[in-house]
Amino acid sequence: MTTNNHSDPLYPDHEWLATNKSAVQQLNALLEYAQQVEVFSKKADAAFRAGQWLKMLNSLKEEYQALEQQQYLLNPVYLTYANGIKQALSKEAAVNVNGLKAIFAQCSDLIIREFNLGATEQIPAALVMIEGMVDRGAINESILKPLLFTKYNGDINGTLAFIKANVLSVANIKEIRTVREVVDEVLAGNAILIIDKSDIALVSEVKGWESRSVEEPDTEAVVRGPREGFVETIRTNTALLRRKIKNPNLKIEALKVGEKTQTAICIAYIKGIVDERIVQELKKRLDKIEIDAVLESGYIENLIEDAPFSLFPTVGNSEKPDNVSAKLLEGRVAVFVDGTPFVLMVPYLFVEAFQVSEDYYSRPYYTTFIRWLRWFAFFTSTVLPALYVAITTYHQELLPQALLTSIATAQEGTPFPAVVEALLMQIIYEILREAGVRLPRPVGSAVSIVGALVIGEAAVTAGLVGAPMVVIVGGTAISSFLIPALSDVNALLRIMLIIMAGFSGIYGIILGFILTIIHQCSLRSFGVPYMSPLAPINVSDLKDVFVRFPWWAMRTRPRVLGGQNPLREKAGQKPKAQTNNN
Amino acid sequence: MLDAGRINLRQLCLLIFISKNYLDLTYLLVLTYPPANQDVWLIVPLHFLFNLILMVPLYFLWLRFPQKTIVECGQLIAGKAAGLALGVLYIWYFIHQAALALSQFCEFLSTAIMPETPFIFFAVSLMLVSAYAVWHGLEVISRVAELFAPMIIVSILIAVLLVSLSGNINLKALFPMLEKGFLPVVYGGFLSSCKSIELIGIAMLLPCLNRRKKAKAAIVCGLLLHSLFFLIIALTVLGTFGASEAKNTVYPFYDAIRLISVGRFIERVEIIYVMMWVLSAFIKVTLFYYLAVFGLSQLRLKDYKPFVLPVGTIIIPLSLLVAPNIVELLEFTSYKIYPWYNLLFIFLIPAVLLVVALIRKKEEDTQCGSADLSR
Repeated sequence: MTTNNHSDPLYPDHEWLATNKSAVQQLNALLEYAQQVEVFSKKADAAFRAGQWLKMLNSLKEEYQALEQQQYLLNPVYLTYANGIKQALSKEAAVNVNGLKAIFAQCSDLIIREFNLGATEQIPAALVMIEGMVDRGAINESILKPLLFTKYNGDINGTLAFIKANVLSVANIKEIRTVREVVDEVLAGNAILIIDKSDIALVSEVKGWESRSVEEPDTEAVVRGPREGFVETIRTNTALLRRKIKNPNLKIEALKVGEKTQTAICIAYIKGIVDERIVQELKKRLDKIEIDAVLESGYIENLIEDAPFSLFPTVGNSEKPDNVSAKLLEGRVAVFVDGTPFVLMVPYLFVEAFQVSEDYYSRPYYTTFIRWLRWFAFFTSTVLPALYVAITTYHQELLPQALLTSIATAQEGTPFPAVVEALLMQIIYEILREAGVRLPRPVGSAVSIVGALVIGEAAVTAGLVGAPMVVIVGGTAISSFLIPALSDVNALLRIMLIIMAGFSGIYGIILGFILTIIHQCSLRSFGVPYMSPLAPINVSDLKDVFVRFPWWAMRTRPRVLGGQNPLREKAGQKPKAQTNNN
Repeated sequence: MLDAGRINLRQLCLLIFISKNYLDLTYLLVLTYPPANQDVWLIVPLHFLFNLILMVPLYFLWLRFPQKTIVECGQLIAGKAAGLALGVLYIWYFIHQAALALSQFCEFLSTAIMPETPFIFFAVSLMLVSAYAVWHGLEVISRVAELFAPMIIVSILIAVLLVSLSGNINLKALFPMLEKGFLPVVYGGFLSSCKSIELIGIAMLLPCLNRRKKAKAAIVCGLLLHSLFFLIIALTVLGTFGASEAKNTVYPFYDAIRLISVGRFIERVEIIYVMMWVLSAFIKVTLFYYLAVFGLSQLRLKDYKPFVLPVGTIIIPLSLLVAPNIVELLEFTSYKIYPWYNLLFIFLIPAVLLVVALIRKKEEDTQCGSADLSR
């Protein structure tokens, strides 16, 4: 038996051929194949002469099939495609079809439907598509049926134009001329019609795959406001956005990223509002990306963010069309990535973490209160455990007498110093949280029981941790849920501050605070200072930070985002009560 | 001038305010200045006026050389060698001031707040944080100041409110007025304004302004804001302790805050004080640290970043040297030596430079200087 590395013409060989661009190596492949054929035929010959062919029949058959499969690798269309040469389609349908078969060898989901055009003319043609990515009904009714039952007049150039104009009942049709385009279109989920004696193929857009329906996202639940969220299909997502902003100035530019995955990406912005420099910068950064795969927008986020070593995110994301529309109307740029409902938005500022889409749909008073509450919660959830550690370790005198007594009683007899206790509880909390997220739903309740009872009650009763510490960690955890956008930053900062408080008390916390602020002030997101409008202070933008002004008072878009089209409403929108003259 | 980053008028104003306010928060040295009785609060308006007068030579020097800091001006006006010497002198002055501010900071923390922790720990830790800020440059420092200023202002107001709610302030302590006559008050005002080392800081920062038009307004606003809080703090302290007792407290405002007790519920709010004080100290130390590094880079060199750590390592031991203990520190910063030392740098040298520039008709080449800085 000949056993060489070509007996299994699978991925490695593809790779080998695909990465070699020299003709010499192609010739080598050809030569090797010829040698294998020679070896095979000699063996078969020997078997026949020896009269043992009946015994060897099965093994010979297998070997023959393997050789036949390998033949695909020698297909000229395949070789040019694999070597990245731009190859025009052949005039002969058979060559094209065989080439495609070779390119898509071992791809069982490829369908090549070969047929003859018309009842009488007998022009060979083929329809190429990928099963599951196309709409079967549309293929049968709008493409195959009309193609098979129409009468053609024989002139081949005329036929193509005739088919395009009179036969195919598909909305979006285009002509393509190269093998690469055919492959890309097939992979995008379109049906390609190849006709004999024509070097132009017709692409009919009949995409239709299974996808999740538009539903309310889990990450950004609202009481008041639209419930729809993005899905995994990029076209659906851009359509959801277009439905919100019905304006041709909403530009949605497409590009592809990911050498292997060829992921579709769209940059959306509103011309006339956005600062063009931000769009240019974003495009520049996206163009620089050379990666094999992009499976989620997080890949892109990592590759375009300004501060890769920072705890703080400088690229925002959202799952809701209304949210993205609002950001675009403020002058931001959105990046849609196929295959994920999370849309990226730049520039991203620190204060955005404290703004929720529902803020703008509710009345301003309670919203303002909630805004204050969020700032307070962010502050407490980062500082509270550290403050507790600092005060119980270094500055007991800062507590009022009654509080000091109750804390001292509770902490009495616990084995660990406060800083160790705080760190332990913090880590246990993070474990519980992570377990709650990853576990299947039915088991989730077990975690909460274990968490609440064992960690909370039992640990205190057993005297392992003090009850105040449990209260503090619990309060911290709940506070951190108010600002989900910063929950990861929050957890890490908290641990850092606990350690600093353990070393040098309140002074340590303040130093940690100053360090964080310096770091935040040094960040920029696509040229915009991360802490604006707080630092540098921008007074006109402050009306959407600690206070949410009513809509009739928020007349200007955020200045920091370019502000080339600053006004968003006419003056005098404040409603006036009608005086009753009756 | 090398591009050091730009600051705007508000940032300049707030930097002046925080930096000047820093000392009044703790030491409130003005209490011991003449007339050293219940009239010291009258010093404040005079302090403001004298500050404006002392600013005159620096301001006019800047008008003649809008793109140059005083370190660079020296070389233009007084010639290469003398200018270089002047520049070195000013850099020494900034380093000294940073060390002084640092030692004032460490003395307070290691005597009042955390007596078990050694001085050097505070010095090193604050300098590390400052070095981080200085390394990021002027823009970041001024943004941080912008964030801290509201916190400091609100904290002071809350503290003063709580002190008055506790019923500790007795404004009768301010009378009789002008017991020793008016002249000692004027003298005290003059001495206390000589302590305003920020004036030279302003002069260093003016060339970094992004809009030059309203620089005067920003300076006046910063000084006015400081005077306002200076007055509030002075009145609070005088009202709480009375002049004679206040003179003997080392940390008057801190002690006033320690006495807060509102409804036997709000007590021991020193934490507010410590917070605003560390924030102010950070801004002040960082500002002068930055000015030293920045001035050093202006002598010859292109970039300031290589100087950040070396200058920092000079400041830390220097802060130990200038004040081996709190008594010597207070002695040095009292009205006997310190104002005259400062007066040399903030008034006399700039005034001489201005006169020389006027006589020798030196002026900045406006063609390369007046690039459009407005954004």
